[in-house]
Amino acid sequence: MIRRLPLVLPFALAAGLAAGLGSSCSLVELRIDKDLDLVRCDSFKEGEASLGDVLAALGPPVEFGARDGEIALLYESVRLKESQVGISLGAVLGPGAGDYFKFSYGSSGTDRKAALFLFGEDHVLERVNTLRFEEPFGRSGSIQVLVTVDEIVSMGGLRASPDAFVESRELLNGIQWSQNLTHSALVELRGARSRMGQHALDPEFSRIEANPD
Amino acid sequence: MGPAVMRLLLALALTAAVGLTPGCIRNSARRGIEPIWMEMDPASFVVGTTTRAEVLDRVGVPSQVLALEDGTALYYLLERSRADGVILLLYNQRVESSYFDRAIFFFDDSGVLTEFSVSEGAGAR
Repeated sequence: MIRRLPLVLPFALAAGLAAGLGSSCSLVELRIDKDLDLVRCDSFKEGEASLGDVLAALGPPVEFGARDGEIALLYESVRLKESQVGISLGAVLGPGAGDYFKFSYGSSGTDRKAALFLFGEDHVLERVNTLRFEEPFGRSGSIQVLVTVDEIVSMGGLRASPDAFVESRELLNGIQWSQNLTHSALVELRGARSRMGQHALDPEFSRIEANPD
Repeated sequence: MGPAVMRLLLALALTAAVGLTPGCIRNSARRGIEPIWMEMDPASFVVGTTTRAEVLDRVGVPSQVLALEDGTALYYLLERSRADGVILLLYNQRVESSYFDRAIFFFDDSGVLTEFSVSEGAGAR
């Protein structure tokens, strides 16, 4: 049986093992929430659709806020892909402890969707804004254990806790808010960087943040 | 080719096979409150009839309470995340997904339900 083995197979497997220890490719995907149907979101007619219509069609929002009788609902979904190329340190520096580590270089891209619904005091839709952005998210390098499959490019902002998990969120009620998604005081996209300045506008909130106990 | 060479090649092949044997990644996490609302029939919440006290009694303490101009809103949230992956050395992959079970209830200033919504799948569990 052994004599019948073609030489190509063992050589290919051996070469594969050597190549595997020398370099590796990884794909890391992050999916947050169900994919948002923006066509459906845009189908709601301003001045006609009600709060109940939107809730019935899209379900509970990712975030919501209220101010002076008006209500804002935010829906969002995130898809992120990071491709990595790794080179074994052992292959570069020679045999040794480096055999168990690799230098990885990764680049990420996002596909993010969001829809903001604003309702008036009568709970009738005043305005709906949708947006989608597909763009590079970042690039980075890292030294990792050979078998690690983890993101290199920081996704911290996208992984941020939903605000329902954050205490004292309601204290933001006192801040004027606008229809600008990235500067809204009550509803924010994941990873929005505006929160720090807005919190600074509210002395009480800032004090609590600084002294959480 | 002698038997010794063949044995060596076979050993290399077995080593390679072990090296290429898939490693798997799987982990999961839950964060939030017990999704009692997902076990309830959404039809059991009736706009104009169900009260805030009833919702609090049946669903429990919410993740978030929001004071509205003319009432209140209760927001319930559970985050479920799961990661699956495979390690082949030459090619590795990991997919992490986060999904949410949510419920939101709006009440007027007398505490009567005016609008509500629960995540898809509620009542089917």
